Amino acid sequence: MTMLLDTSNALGFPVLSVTVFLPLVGALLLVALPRRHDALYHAVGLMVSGTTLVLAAVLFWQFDRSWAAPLQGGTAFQFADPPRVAATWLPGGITYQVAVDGISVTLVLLTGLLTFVALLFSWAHVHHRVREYVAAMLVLETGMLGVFTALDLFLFYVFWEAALLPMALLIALWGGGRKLYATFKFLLYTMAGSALMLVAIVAAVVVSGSPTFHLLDVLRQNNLPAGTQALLFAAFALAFAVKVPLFPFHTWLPDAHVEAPTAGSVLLAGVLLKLGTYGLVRFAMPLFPSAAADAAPILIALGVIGVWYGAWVAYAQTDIKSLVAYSSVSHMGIVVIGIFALNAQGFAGATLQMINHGLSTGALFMLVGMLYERAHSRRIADFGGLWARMPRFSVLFLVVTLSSIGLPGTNGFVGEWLALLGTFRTSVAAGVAATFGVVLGAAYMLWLFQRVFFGPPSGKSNDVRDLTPVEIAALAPLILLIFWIGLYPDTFLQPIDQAGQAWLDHMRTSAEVVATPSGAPAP
Amino acid sequence: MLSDLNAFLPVLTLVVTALAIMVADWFLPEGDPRPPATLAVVGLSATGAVLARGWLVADTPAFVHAVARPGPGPAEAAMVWHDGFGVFAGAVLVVAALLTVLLGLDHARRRPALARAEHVVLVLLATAAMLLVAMANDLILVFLGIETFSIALYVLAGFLREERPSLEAAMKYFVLGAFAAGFLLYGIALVYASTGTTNLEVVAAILAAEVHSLPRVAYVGLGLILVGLGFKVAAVPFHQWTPDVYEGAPTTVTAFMSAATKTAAFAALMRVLWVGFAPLADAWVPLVTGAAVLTMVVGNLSALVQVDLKRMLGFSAVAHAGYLLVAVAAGPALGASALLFYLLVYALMNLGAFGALLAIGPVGPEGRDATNLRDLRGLWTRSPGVALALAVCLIGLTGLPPTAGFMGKWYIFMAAVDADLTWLAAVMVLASVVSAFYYLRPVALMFVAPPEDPAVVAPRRATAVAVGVAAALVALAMVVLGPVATAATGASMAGASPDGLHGARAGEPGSGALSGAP
Repeated sequence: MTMLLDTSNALGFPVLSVTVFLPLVGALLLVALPRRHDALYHAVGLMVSGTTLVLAAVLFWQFDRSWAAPLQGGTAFQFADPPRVAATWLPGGITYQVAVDGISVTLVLLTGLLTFVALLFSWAHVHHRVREYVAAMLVLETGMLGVFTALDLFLFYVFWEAALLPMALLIALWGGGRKLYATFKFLLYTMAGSALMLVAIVAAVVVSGSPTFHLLDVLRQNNLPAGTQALLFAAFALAFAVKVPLFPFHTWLPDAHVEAPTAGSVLLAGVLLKLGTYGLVRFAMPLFPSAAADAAPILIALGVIGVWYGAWVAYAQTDIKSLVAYSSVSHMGIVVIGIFALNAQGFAGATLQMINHGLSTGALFMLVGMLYERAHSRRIADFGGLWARMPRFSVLFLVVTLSSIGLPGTNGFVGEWLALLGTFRTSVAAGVAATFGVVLGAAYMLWLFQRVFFGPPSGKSNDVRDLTPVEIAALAPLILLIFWIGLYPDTFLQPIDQAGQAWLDHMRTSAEVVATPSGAPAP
Repeated sequence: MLSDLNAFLPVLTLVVTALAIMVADWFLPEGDPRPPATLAVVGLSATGAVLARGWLVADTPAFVHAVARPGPGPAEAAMVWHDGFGVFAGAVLVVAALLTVLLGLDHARRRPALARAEHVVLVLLATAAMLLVAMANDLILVFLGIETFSIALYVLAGFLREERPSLEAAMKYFVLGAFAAGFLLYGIALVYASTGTTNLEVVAAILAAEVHSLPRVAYVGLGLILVGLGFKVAAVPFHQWTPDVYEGAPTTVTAFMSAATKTAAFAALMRVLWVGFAPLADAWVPLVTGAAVLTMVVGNLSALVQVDLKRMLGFSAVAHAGYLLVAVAAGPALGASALLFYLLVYALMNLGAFGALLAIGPVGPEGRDATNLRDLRGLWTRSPGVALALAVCLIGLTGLPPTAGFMGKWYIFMAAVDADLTWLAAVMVLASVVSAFYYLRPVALMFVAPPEDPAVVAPRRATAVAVGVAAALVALAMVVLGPVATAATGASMAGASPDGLHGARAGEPGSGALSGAP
């Protein structure tokens, strides 16, 4: 058992619970406000999500990166609330406790940032049913933050499903043409995926004899026979694979993305997809370590197929938004491969890549949204020579494109490099295949950029204005982080590594199954 | 003697209230639904208080009598068990009846026939009989209780006697119900023939002693009892009456039937099977699990294609009977607790949903109730409150967190997994996923579609209170219903072996997992 609970809380008040539930309180506040004050609703949304972002940043800043060292690789969940023992919540061994480790604190920051930025974007562009819109975004934020911080399996599942309905509402109410179709496809895919996980959660606890649904209690049992592990891992993995989405469970994603409003796409790609990979790392793999190790080759293979397939299909898209959507399938494939490489580099790369994908894809969706608000088209063929008309827009688009394809100096390079390095250490074949997939990714993105931005202005490119200050402000933090991670990744790699070491230790000691390829133990 | 009276007090309170209303009706102005409803609310509240007091008392047998039959088994037996299980089920029934009376108050303004005092009286008498069923420890008493509340319900279903659908519903319900009663009674007779008693605990003792030399007729009797109760709980293949009766009966009555009948019938099923026929569990558990699967699948698939919301909720009631059968199969300890909690939750969700439909008010020139999917279009812009309440109840019926419906299903899963019925739990979640489609489609229509009739909906006060309370409890379940779930966990069923089918299971890992505090 190397997963420990650090009871220290540098901030001295239940900061995590406040962070998680603040947006929900904001949403309830919105309901109480008088009718027809759209500006007020936007202001409340920005204030609440801004405060949440500040809290998330403080958490990230105060997170103790050195704490692990004296424990020789043991990590801690910090800022636990309630601090020492989980609070009994409901009968049947259901407890309440939220806490963060190096992975979740980073993802909490990402969530806070993207929600705030998405609301900033919406301030400029959403004028229809504003109150409901902002409320849905805030409830969604609570759901996502809850997933990243919950330590109890029941609590986790509650947040996991609670994030579903507001997202569906965003697509259904503010979506594009086939919004209801996309909504129901999204809902039914995700629910069908999670359904068996629900049974698996209950079964894992009952069969292991754990006294509660608290993750650490269940992990302490560590007595599941291999056959049971395989079944339960499959149920968990299916739920997460649908969310990631891993080939062949990805078909809901393009529909949902294309029909979703821009801010919805930003959060869908930026954060919701990470719920899947986070779930693998936090729950599915530590709970069923030997089954996870057994299944690694299959999942790596699916990841590789996803990388190739996503890139290939993205190449053929005529709509910019669906191109970005398919690129997500490709990028999330890399994350899955990195995780299942089961070594330190793969893990760090994959986790960093979760953040990177959130930043770059979030930014791309926002840029596409800004373009759509101007030209009311997302067809690649409708554009050309945008650089001449929208220089600021084009520069930002270029930066994000380069980050997305992993140019050195941007965040994408660090993440992909580490993830691929880890993959090569585990399987050269998978490494080679994944690397070629990544190169393919560069091709479709650059080709997109060439068609839309270069050449003489044509089609709808003629009557568009450049970005407004609010829009630039919404993109600025993402651009800043793209370079920050690209040039000084340590800020993020430290907490991730700390959590990763403990994670690998756990996987190794509880099953002694982690592959140490070619005699080289993971450093 | 005094303990007999104590155990009988809740039933008595209800009957006295009903009689008082009948007498008072002589002196009350005709056509005003408020006085009888007020009296009914007072009586139901008193019953609630009596039940709450009963909750604090230890389990007590009532109407104990000597067993005439010589042979194995106890020398004395109780007709009624005033135990945690019965009291909790009784509380659910009182909640359902209270909400029904409140809903009926406003419904009566549009449907003058419902304003008659008999409406309230019949609801109270049905509730009294259901309470008796929930506590009955004797097959004869089970049968009498079921017949009493069924007759009240036949009349209630046909209460709008000027309207064809209502009459048709009453007729169908009566004919099929009479058949079911015949099965039930014949089954009881055959069990009596092979054991010489109708008392559940004595039946169990005799069956346990003679399990290897039982005449075949005992099994036939059990099977017929299962058929009879299967009709009442709307288990497939005995569910055909449900959608027709739900659609035709007055909406208030449908709401009451869906919540209260289900509670009484499932309480009876649980007690009859796990107290009386526990020694034959090997024979009937497969039947119950099979029926559970069929009921979930058929109920959910049929609900998918409905456009009439009452009919849809009728098939949804069938589907939920399937979920509850999973709890029955899971055993008398965790299964019974999960069953009780889900019955409460289901009553809240269903009454909330039907109440919200009533709150929409009359539709169209003929002033019919809002029951068509179409009537929900754009409800969010017409009345955010009603739309939100209905959405909460429908999401709860789907079983999505953080609603009460999720909590209820969660406890059924736990019970099923603990009873080695994990596969059944898996079928149940998959069925729930299918149900998302028909529950969430109305929700989408309310929020997304433009209204056909833009008039603002303003529900009357009683309806608003009933629907608001139900929806709030469903929405905030995880904050407020914790103590109730704890109570359900502690509601034991007297006379049932807590380990259910296999006492040996107690030693296996896992059985302690669900009882201990962290």
